[in-house]
Amino acid sequence: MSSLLEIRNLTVTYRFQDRQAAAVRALDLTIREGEKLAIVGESGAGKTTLVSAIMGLLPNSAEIEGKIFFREFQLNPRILAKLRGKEIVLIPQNVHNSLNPVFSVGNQMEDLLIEAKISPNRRRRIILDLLRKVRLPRPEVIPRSYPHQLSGGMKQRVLLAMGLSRSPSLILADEPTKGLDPVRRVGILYLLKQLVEQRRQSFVLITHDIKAAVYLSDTVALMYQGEIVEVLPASLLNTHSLHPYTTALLAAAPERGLQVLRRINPGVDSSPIVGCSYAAFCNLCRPACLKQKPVLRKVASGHMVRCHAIA
Amino acid sequence: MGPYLLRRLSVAVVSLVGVSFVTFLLIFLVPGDPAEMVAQARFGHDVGEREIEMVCRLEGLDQPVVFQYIKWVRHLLNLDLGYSLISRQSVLSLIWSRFPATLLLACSSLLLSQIVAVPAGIISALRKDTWLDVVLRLFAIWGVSMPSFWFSYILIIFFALKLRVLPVSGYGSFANLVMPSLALSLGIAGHTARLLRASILEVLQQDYLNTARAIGIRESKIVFKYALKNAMIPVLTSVALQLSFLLSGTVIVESIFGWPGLGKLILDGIFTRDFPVVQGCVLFVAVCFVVINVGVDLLYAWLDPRIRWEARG
Amino acid sequence: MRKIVLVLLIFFSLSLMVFSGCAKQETKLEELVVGVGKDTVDPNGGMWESRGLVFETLVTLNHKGEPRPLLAKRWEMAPDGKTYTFFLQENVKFHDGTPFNAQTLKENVTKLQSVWGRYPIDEVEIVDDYTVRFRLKEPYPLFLWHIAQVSRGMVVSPKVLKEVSGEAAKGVGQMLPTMSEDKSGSKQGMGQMPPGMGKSTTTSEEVRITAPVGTGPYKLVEHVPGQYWVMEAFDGYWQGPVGIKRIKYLVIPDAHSRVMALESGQIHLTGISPLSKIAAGDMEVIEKNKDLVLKHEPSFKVSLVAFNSAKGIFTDARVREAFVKAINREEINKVLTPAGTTLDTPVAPASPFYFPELTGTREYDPARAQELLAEAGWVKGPDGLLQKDGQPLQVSLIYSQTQPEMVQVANILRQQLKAIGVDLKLSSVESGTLFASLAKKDYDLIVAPGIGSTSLDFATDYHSKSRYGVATDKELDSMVEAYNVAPNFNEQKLIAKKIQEKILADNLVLLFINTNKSFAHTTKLQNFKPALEEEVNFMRHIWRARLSK
Repeated sequence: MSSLLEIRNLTVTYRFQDRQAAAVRALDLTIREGEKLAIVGESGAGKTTLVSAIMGLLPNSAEIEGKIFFREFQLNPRILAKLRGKEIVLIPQNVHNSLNPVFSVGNQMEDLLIEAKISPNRRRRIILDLLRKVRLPRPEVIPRSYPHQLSGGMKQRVLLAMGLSRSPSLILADEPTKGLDPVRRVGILYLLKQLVEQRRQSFVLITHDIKAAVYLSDTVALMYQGEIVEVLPASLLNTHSLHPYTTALLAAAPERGLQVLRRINPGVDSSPIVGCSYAAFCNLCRPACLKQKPVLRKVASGHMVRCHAIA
Repeated sequence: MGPYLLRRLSVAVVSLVGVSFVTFLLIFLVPGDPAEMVAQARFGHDVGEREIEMVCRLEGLDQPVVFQYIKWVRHLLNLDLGYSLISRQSVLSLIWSRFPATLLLACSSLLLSQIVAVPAGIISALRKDTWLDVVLRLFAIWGVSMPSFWFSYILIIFFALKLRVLPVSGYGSFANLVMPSLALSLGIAGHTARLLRASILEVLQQDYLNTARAIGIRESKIVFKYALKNAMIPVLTSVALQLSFLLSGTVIVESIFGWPGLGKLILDGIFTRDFPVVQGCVLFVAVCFVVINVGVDLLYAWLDPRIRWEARG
Repeated sequence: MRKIVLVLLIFFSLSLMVFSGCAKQETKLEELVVGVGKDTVDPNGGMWESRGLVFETLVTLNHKGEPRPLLAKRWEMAPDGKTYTFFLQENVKFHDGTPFNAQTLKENVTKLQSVWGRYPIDEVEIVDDYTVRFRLKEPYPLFLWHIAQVSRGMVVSPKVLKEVSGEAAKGVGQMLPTMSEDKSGSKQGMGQMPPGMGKSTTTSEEVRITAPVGTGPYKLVEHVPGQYWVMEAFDGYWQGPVGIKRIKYLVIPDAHSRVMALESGQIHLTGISPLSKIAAGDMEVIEKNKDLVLKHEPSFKVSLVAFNSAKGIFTDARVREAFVKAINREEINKVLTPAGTTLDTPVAPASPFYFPELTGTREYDPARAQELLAEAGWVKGPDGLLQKDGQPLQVSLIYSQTQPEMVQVANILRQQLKAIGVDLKLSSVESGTLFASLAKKDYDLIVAPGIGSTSLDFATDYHSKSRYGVATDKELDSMVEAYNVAPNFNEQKLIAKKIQEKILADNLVLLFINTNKSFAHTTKLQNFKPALEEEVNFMRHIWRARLSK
């Protein structure tokens, strides 16, 4: 499988007046064609920033360093404008404000298809098809409806439909089950699994829900403080995770006893970190951890860890 | 929509009654005896007691104010607004003869202001903090703060005296319309431009714009369709309200340019205590206000579907 | 976005081209355009401002204020002062062809009460076709002066005098032009009666003028209410060919706009009535312009800055005298000139009852003023202001916004009075309020418009029964009453002098201000002299003027 998306040494810093915060630090990541990857981390770990950076949708206050390549193209605003929606799609996090309130759903979906230069008749059919595909009840009513008339779950499905409409090569789904109740969450996950399995598209799931990550993806990457600290096959996550942070994260899940997760509060501290970012809370910490930042090292096939103690 | 409209209309009627009653009261509360002013206007300044008394009796001005008001309302229900005490013309025909001029001026000023303000607001928002934005904002503030009468004189001096391309005063040709419209449009343009700029900037921060980008809608469409429609809503309502103000007669501009509009009619009526004229005009203007306000509400609901459903529920 | 800017640019350049195409500033040269402040062609006033162009009177006044023949070529007055015999001009026709003669004059006098009803006329006798004898009930010494004014002595074609009674008297109407080019489009049709004008002595039956048909040099041909009206020369005018064939009155409510229209050439003449005043600040501009002429002609009009001698501080004659002596009239004259001046007597020099020997009685003497105030018990307080029994000497001056020259005068008064320790508060009100205060005698100092002086009846302003008068003195009242019934001109003149002496001696008025008629016109207008006797219609002699190229 060839590489679809390659991120090299990406650093994203937010500047606000005289303060700054690095949301993503020197991140490297490669996504192959057809790969299903989940990026797991807490809110504030930098996941959304990463995804926004890939899409080229960061606010003006953000500074980017590093390079991102899509196939053979280095991404810049001009290229991204052409690729967005067609090749790379983001299904956003905030469902409730993601659709324009003053236009009907159908209108917004049509706009998408207009970009693809599809004729008016075909558009209507395609819209209905898409709505059916995302399992919306009574799809003929939806196009006339306005966003505020739909529930959260329905809006999420509409966004999904929009994202899939032009068969992009790379789908980024940012917390697709956020804010949904357990029943709906299951529904969306099931739908995603079906949609994703059918195609040869690359799929990146951003989530803090470990179970969803395991369910939907082949590979899981864990993010902490803007860095990837561990990458491993999804099937091994629950049993063979190595990085201390991953262990702590797993332990904090309700089913495992809700152990308190000790770490730097994500997103609060912004100062550059010397040494390992998890050092202060790590039970495997040794002197080298404080002085030198560890690098991601391969410990087994498809398994990488960023830790002095382990690799 | 039905019950909603009904509610709005009943509120409107109540406010119309209130407005007309207060106006009626004011004419009598203001110093100066109405009978005296009317007698002076009819007979010249050297009136005596006898003329004043005669006028008083003839026009029923000696009745208590409330009775006079009720009499006026009764006539009103027969669609009779009465006659001017001074010129004896029917108030309705007076209003009808002056209103078209005011309407024309109001519409052309509004149109002119929007033609200037909308592009200015959009450019200002999209090129935020560049020199272009700064210049446009300065113009907007200048437009809002400049008094219309001062600007009118400037226009006259420039166009009528120096360039000699436009007449100073009058009504009838397109040339007459230019300067008064410019004078009035300035304030509205400034206000609209600033409002639009702020509105667009706010809308630009909304998530749904980013979503639209994320799913691949092109930037120009995002600005001109997605952002603009949302941004226009507060602006359109403000502009429609400006129309109300313009219709109530911009006295100063009308005076300066000799524009035979409603404003001057009301003003003269007040000075001569010609209360049927004042009442009739104020009522007319109030009705215009109400109609425009209801129209704005409907417009708002049409533009923003969220309001529609709230109104229904 | 670029497209929008482009569209805008195209729009504006197109507009500019259209505008310059619309430039049409110079009006046709045979038409004199007059800038006025208000449309006074209203049904009630009956062409108030241009009445003098349509209607004429038996006599007129020359610039010295002496009666001169007009429709009456000569007259005789009996020694008892009660009989006037007028010998009428013989070749005069009304606009509608009706001849002007003794018969038509008599019809006017008997029917048109709103004009002639103010005179104590007992009988009108037709001596022959062109001789009429008026018999008055009592002597009326100023009879000739009064009938010289258009509103008080006009002659109308009998064909347009119609009786109206009852409800129709309250009806709607409008003066109609002789040619029905009425562009107003209003719903008033022919045949509806306009209400009358002037004082009516009858209540239910009134004779109204239904159309402006007179003997004067112009006819009304077009009227667009609120905007303009047009007069055209009357071909058969008895005094000879009319110099200016068309006169258009253009309504421009704002004073500054009128002057600017004069400068731009849109109008030729303005300032010709109290409603078309030229603002003091604009006068300089006109003077500097070599294509324009600014003129100040004498008038009878005297405004009175009067004391309220019935109530309050000014009941004390010493206080009044002190105030009069505290004012330096030279300073005030500096701001009033040339549009007006202060007078030392209650009447203007042009008046028949002007007595130059009465001037010089009001000297500027601030020292004496302070003595008088001290005598009256006013002592200087700690803040420099005078006070008595703990109350400061504070008086208010009420003036109206329609008297713009008063602003500067008021400020000077305040300064001059402050110098002797008086706190003068200024109160600028709208004219309705001013008249109300004047009628109710609710003021300390007020600027009274001096209505009597305009109508050549100066004494009425000093009678206590006068609604807008300024005096409440019984002695003065009896003098005024005697003045009104004086048997002849010379006796009336004597009484007039006594009245004036008393007014001055009692210091009833702080300032007498005589305002000139100030008007401006293009140098193209030649040979125009305003009528002295008219306050409003002083364009009546414009038919002799010429408009050059």
